[in-house]
Amino acid sequence: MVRTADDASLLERVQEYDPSALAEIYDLYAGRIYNYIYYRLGDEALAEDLTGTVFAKMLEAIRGSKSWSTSFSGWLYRIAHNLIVDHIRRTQQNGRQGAVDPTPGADQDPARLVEHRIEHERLRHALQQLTGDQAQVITLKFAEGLSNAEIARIMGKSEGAVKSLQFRAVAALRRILEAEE
Amino acid sequence: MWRPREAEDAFDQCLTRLRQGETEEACLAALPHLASDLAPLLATASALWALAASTPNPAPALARIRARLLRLLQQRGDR
Repeated sequence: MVRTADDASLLERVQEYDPSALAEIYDLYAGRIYNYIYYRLGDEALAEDLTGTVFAKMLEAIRGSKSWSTSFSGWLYRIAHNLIVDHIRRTQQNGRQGAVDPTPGADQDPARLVEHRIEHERLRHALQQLTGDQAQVITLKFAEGLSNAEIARIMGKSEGAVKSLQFRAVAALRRILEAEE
Repeated sequence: MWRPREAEDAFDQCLTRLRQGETEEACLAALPHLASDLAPLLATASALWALAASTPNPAPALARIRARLLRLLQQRGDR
């Protein structure tokens, strides 16, 4: 996931408007960034829109030479995280509800599906009440399936701090869910 | 009485074991003095993994973004 030397060489080529380098770097990271955003917001159209914005910002930043300093993937996740936080803040100010999971296939039981949607919406709502670091560690761990070492690099923390943060994050989430029951 | 650090380590180990296919019950049985504290957290962790499994296939969206991004690069390169 973290490929600093390779990434640096690819990004140098992107700076020279090399489309194959951009396509390569996009293919490496776009799926993960999309999943990260979708996990938090549960809206396909929004996940597409914000994923596009992350990469447009990446393009802008590397052209202007004001990009990442340590971990390229961590930098992309930070852009995504900030876009998610901005979106949540805006929707909370407007009093709008979050979106729902996509339309099911014909083989899914409608009653179970409704149950799952309610559960997923409840979880996402609870995630929005965590601190930024707590929500990020949960998303990287459970949506992205990253190891503590990878999360530590992305978040700029030690592995011990990640372990402690994930414990506190899940405990806080549990408390929020219990208080809402 | 357990130490907070012990619970953090045990929770992390249980997450790894669950990912490897072990059940919550088996994890908790190995840690009887922490079981009542860890059980609700492991249930929450399972719900978080289930949420991840509900992500739709992103391939069509990713293809559209890719095409837009490459157009954007081309426009900038033409300037």
